[in-house]
Amino acid sequence: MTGGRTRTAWLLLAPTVLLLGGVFGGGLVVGIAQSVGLFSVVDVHGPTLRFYPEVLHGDDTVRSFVLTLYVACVATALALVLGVMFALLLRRAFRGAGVLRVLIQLPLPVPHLVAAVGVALVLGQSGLLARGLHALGVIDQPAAMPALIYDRGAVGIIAAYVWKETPFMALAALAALRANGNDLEHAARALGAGRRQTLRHVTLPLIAPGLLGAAVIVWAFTFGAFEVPLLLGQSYPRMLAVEAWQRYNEPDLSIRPGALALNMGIAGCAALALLPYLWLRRRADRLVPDANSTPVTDLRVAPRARWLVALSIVVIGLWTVVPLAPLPVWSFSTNWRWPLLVPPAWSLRTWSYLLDPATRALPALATSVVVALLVTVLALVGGVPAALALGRYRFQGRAWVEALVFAPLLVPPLSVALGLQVVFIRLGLADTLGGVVVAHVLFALPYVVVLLANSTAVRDERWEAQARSLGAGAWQAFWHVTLPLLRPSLAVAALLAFLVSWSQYGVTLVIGGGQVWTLPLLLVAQAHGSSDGALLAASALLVILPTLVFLLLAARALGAGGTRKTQTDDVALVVR
Amino acid sequence: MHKRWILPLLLSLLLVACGTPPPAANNDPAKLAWDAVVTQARGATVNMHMWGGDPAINRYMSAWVVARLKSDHDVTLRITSLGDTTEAVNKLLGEKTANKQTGGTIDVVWVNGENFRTLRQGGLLYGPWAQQLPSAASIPWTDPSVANDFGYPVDGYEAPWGRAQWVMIYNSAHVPEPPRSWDALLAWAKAHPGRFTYPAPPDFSGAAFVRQAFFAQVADHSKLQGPFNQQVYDAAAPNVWQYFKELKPLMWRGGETFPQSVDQLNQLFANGEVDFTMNYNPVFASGAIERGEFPATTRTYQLDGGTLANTHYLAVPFNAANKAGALVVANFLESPAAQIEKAKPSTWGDLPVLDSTKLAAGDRAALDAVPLGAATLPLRELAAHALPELQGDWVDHIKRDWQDQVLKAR
Repeated sequence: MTGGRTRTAWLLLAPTVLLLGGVFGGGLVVGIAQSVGLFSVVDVHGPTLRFYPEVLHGDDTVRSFVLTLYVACVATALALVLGVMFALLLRRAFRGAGVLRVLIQLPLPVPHLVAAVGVALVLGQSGLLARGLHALGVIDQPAAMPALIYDRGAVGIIAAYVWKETPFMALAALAALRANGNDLEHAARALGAGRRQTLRHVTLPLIAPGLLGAAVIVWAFTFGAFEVPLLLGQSYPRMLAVEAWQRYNEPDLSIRPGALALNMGIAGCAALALLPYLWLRRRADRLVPDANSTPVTDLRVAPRARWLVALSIVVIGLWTVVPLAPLPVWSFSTNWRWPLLVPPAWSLRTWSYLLDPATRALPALATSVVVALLVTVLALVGGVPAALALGRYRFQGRAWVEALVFAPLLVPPLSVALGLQVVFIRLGLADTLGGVVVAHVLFALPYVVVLLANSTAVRDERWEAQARSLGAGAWQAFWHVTLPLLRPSLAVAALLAFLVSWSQYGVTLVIGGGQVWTLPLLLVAQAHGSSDGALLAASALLVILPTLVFLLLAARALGAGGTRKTQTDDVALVVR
Repeated sequence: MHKRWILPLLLSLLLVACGTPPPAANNDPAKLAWDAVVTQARGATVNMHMWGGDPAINRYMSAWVVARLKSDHDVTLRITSLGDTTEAVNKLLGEKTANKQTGGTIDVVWVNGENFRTLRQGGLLYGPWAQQLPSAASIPWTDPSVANDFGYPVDGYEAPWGRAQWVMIYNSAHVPEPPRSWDALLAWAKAHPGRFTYPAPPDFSGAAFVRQAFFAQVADHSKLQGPFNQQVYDAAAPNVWQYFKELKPLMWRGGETFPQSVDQLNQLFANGEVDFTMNYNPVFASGAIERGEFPATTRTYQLDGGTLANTHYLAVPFNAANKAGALVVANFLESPAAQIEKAKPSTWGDLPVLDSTKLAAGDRAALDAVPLGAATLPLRELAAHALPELQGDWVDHIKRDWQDQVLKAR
């Protein structure tokens, strides 16, 4: 590798590395310092390493670790299997495929908190499922319903995660399927392999590397997030992230370093999961992608399999809609208690409260839109060059840059919260809209970079090389050749960046200081410490509805922008 | 190539470590005459951070209070709703760490108990100022449960805003005669397995429920006041934990799990999965009936020995940008007019923190005329059976030991 190319790579990476290294890294440095007892306003006799053995040993932590590992592995595995099944179905051409593609993506913009609420509403012992069984005469009282939430087997937590992560897995699997084309499958079938044999020995091995990245991110996320298990988990043992969150919120400040140490342990486990991904990426570098020689054709559905397809549409539709469907009903309901399947009376109470000017819902909506759009633009501006550098150039230190890019996805947000606040106060950006935008970009960039760096348009340099050989300048070649090729992937990246910004809560609160008032702030203020379910449902809808509009618009734009092939083509390594 | 890492690393260290010390000029309105404070506050915007989980509270603040502050004092009150007060505490900790001594974004914070203790211990509050407010004249400052916030001396660092008292909530359609003593509760649970539970501490209401069991074990309640006393604790604790361990298998889900928060318990109660819930606001149940959340047959009651009561307050952070405005807001919220409006269950239903003997006759009559709702006990009856809250060390000890002795016990 020549020095010139290395220099170009680092120049392209500069904005991303400076932002993630300087700002996020700064936050992390403070987090680590806190975990050894520095930056504490009460004297904890630091610096000291004693908090690590204190929290990382002990019976409780071991039990929490086992539970966390179990939940993360089962949820990831189920999402993987379901995602692959959805993808295998979706790559076929049949009537209703378009509807199904939109349906499958419905959970994407739904905040985890809302997903958990939906799951509780359906699976709880007095939930809709139990009420249905009661109406059928199967059970006579809530206690007769098997415990599916707050339960020993963590069924509720796993259900919420699987519901939320399956679309990502499906998109990743679909992208991997399309990238590989179906030449080899046809060849296998022609040589006499059965359907099942082809799937097992050809299709699955082909898409396995592409799926691993997505699986790692989902695993790391379920391992380190606290919202869902906090709402749906058993009191004891608790998942590690819940344990850390509760310690972090203890008013006794001398406990705080221990909470940070526990968070660092979680981050360490998540980082270990990154190793197989980095190793596979390195191996994939040796294979130059070749998108042109394998024309992708949609597989037809045999006429006798049509009923199977229809059934799948019904099942998938139910699966995505069931946790969401009760929300609008609930938001207009009053006195809706066990065992009623339908609310006995309706009320506009929650909506008139939410839309009251004093609640500031409309300003929150406006702020959320402005912030999310700015974040989308900035994340693309910074992320595209970085993705080009990581996708095209081999240079020393690349693995480190990749680890840095992944860091915001792997490190539990609580461990950088105080650090980020300190950095932003120093930069003079705390409590401003600009500060919130920059902070969101930190968490949107990884999605953009990882997604684009793995896309075929970035990794395949031949078109650009051809343009250069015909006399185009580097910038011309990029602008007129690579960028148009990249457009479908850019649209998906933009959508993800938008959604990441849209659902941020903690970061907005810490950096915006309450001065920047967005919809998630409104939602969480209603959700935490309120037993008013109707109001919670209405607030959740207020957060979700605008993103559904955005999602549909994006789907239309994608549909109009190219052939159907490009719609989902480059969602290579999406992301939880 | 490792050199590449030095730049970002240095940059981040630079950002974190250095920083210009802020100017020492710090306004101190507590030293001014009240008229001067009011003048200084005119035209100001005051940022108040408060827990925002109750629409009734939000409506009272954003409609009634905001309008009057604007028209009476030309003060613009801007409210930030929080999911949890700890978020404000963490924000102030960050500003302290970054040495941001002025221009802070929180002017007033609604706080009490452990959060107040944390803020005081971290040097995060401005004060003392609370006893200098004109409205302080009608506040019962001599009452130890007002002068001490969970046993921690207030010392003028926060202004009393309201009072709360813990009550048990039950459905009179299912439970005609609720169990009023601890023994009766256990007997009831034996007769009705799976129909009672309480939120796992550290939930506020659940932790208060557990704390109250200590009052039944320690006949001389004064021994529970003051700093943590190991001897008193050791004498009472084994019996308390024994009681809760006996209760556990008789509870909802066989005690295998507990509601994580009082909100979860409220939902269980609303759906008839259990027959009791509990709340640290005695008017809450009446409001929940009105909202269609709880059945109309919901009622509240107190345990025989009485129930815990506490006061909640308004505090001003050390670096508040607008301290004079903050004081004007606190003074207004403490005034009889604001307290009486707040006491109405249709508004908020928060118990006033006024000494009625110090009120003008008209205010006293207005206060007595406030209707409290079907499920609320008379205020006098509540006050007659109020137990003073324990100090933070007690609270911490009980919370921690409950986890080890009850939650984790097989």
